[in-house]
Amino acid sequence: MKLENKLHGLKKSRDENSLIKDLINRIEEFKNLDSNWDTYNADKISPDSITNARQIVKIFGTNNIIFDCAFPMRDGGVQLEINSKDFNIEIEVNPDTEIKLLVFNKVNNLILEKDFKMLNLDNLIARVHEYFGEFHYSGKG
Amino acid sequence: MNILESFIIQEKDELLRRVPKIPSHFNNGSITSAAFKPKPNEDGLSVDLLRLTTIDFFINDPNKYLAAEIIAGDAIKEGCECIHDPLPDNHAHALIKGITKQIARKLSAICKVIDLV
Repeated sequence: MKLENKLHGLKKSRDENSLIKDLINRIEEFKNLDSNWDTYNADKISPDSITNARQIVKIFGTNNIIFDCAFPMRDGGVQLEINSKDFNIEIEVNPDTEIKLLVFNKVNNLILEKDFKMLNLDNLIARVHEYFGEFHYSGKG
Repeated sequence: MNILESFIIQEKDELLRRVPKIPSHFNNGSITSAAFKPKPNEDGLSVDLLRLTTIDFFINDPNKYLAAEIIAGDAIKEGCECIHDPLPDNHAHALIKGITKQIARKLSAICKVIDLV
């Protein structure tokens, strides 16, 4: 039984690392988007946003929070998302290096909007933990 | 002054927004709200009024893009203003004004996805 638990733990850990790696690779590919990538005059994704978004994904991963997905933003930022049954979280990594946390309830009403800096990611992680507990793993590939 | 004929957008009107397929804009079956957030310097979110165009013409390249269809009444109900804003090269162009982050999230959750491939 103990061995099974250990093996399960190892498998989950490998899945998490794979999800984080895939997400970081996806964010990296946003570098290839030219201006107007959405046909509506979207900005090129800022190198700072890409670097900061990758760092956030890594640091959150070490704190047991795995993002579901990442998307390019029209203003040159990167949007990270986590969805659950009760809450949905968007983290906007803006080109000006500001980070905005948006928390929505299950009917998509905005219940929290707060700005953070890269220097106080611990505070950001603590706020996300308030909504998702100490562990978030969607299990999605 | 705009010399092009202008239409009043009705609540039942269908508004189309092009969404790139690469990178994928889907999370858990829904289009991300990022596709519906106007840039800070924009007057509104650009869309096309379906009754003045066709899906095929609007999507243009179905291998690269899909269409997100928003019912004007859904945006109006959230407090947005939908106005026809014809451009010299696109008579169907319209704007959804007043989109907040919450409204972008709600519209992304309820829009209909049209993929021609």
